[in-house]
Amino acid sequence: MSGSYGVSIGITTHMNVSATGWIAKNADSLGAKTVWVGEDIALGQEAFVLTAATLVQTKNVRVGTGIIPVTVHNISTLARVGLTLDEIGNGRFAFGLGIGGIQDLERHGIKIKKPVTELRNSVETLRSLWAGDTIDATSEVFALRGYDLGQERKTDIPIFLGVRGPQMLKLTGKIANGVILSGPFDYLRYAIKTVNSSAEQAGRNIHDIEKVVWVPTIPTFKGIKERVARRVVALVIADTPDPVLDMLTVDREKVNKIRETVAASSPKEGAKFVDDELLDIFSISGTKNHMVDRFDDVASIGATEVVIGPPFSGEWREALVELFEENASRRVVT
Amino acid sequence: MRWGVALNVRNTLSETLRKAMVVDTDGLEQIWVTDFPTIRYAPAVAAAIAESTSSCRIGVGLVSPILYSTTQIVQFMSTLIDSFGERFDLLLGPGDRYALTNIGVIQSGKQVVGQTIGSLVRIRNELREGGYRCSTFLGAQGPAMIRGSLKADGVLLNYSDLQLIQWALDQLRKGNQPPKDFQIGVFPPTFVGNCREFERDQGVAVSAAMVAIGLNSTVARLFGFQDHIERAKRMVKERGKINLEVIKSLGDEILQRFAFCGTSDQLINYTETLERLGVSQMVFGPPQGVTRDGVEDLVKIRAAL
Repeated sequence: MSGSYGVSIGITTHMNVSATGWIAKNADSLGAKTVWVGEDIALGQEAFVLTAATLVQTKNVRVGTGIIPVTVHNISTLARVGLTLDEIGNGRFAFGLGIGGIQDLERHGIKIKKPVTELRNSVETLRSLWAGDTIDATSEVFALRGYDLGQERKTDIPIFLGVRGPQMLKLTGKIANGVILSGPFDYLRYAIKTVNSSAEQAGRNIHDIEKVVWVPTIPTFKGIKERVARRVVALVIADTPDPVLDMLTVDREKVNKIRETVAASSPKEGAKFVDDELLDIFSISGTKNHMVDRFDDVASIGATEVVIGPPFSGEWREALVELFEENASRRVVT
Repeated sequence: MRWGVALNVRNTLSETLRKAMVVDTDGLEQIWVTDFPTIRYAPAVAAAIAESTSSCRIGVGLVSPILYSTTQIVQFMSTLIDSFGERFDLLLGPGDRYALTNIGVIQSGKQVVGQTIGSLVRIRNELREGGYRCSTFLGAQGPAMIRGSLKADGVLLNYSDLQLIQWALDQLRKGNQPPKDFQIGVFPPTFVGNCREFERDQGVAVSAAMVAIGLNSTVARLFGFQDHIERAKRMVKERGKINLEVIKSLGDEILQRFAFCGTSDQLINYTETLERLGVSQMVFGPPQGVTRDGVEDLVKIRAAL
């Protein structure tokens, strides 16, 4: 068994209000550490209202965005949103930020030349504004002139970065309060190591940086069909960049076949080539015992929090309850 | 007449919620949650107000479709309604040009009206097609925006002066009459109390100056304010903000035409006159809702009517 870690729930703006509302109403009693709200750009619910609604419907659980692309919102809006959600949650809010997926951004006509610099500038600017400073600042996507939040009181909002590449991971180790990671197990190990090593180089304590792992969790023990799990994994494989795949000891021919099939046909067709090994590498699925075993594995490489997230289908409410119960039962001291 | 009060101007969220509960319990019909350049993000504040209140309507705005995309505006209105019920209205308008420039949002003067009205039409249509029942208002001052507001469910005029309001209503009624259910309201800076030293009362004077400086040039010319307003605009550009000098340069006489400032008796007379003109909503803009006393005063006056 691994050391202590939290189990959290991930929701996305593309989910309907009845599902996100149920999770908000039950997150405290389930014992979730955080409810993370992912923004599917321009789809479904508005991310900040969903986060606010989740905060007002909960009492103890932390609620965070996971993640909001800094490139699609005015930086002043992000600063104002942070302050507002922090007040609504009375300190329970965490701001998960990132650059956004390249394809998503291109679809919205956004091109960033220096993403690492952009993310660093955004974090520094937000923290200065929350500290009460009046700011003149420019970047690739924002320009502030004599702007401030009119705050006398300093607001300290934890910033989590949703990142993937080595430079971004190093930046996270230097400046963030936490990291939100997604990817196969070997990649996660590498990513956590990179964040920690960068933090140490910056003179920080590695334990001051939370490591949140959000990978597809598919409880096939409660109604959700295994073919759904394989379809999700086919899609994840298709979206996984080459440098990440290079770290894995998987059969590249098999992986390439899936990527080609997804691109040429559909995730459903690609799913036919996803075997049990790939299912286990790219997702956490199966029985509740197996899934919690995998949570423990992820925690053993340094993750401080594991997120149970979409797809929510089948009897997902019951599955969530059972997963939290199973996890809690393993932590009871006898 | 429907009474509403603008909250979320300078207060912390907890202060805003306390005032929202006074409004909800003691009987004003509506809260308007102001947005940029105020600090707190209005849609999230509206969610918190909805959770803490049960019956008052909650207006979100003024929201600028130049700062937020139409998609985001539709998304936050639909999420609010899905999560908290059909209690929400929306007020759109271009927003404070100087404040937007300071955050890198540059408006081209000529395109602003077209862009705002285009966004209004798209937002209203998308909300309707989605089955969301909420009124979409346009905040208007100049003739093009006033006429454009006929594409909305209603207009909130940024005027307090009865002569200016009458002129705006004439613009609205030029040509086609507004539809029967079209809602006409005013949303001026307000202060109920002693207004003998108007210039010195920074809260109401600053709000009035902000409205005056943003005045459409056609209207400014028509009513003979142009010289004063142009001078004040230059000063704001140089200083980067509205200060006492700017307020003094506008002078009492002009400022008083851009805010309601008077006793409770004067307020009652004023709202009765508005009703006779065909105005069905009065939104009490800042500084009235900035203090809890201000909100309680409104509630008392309303109860005594």
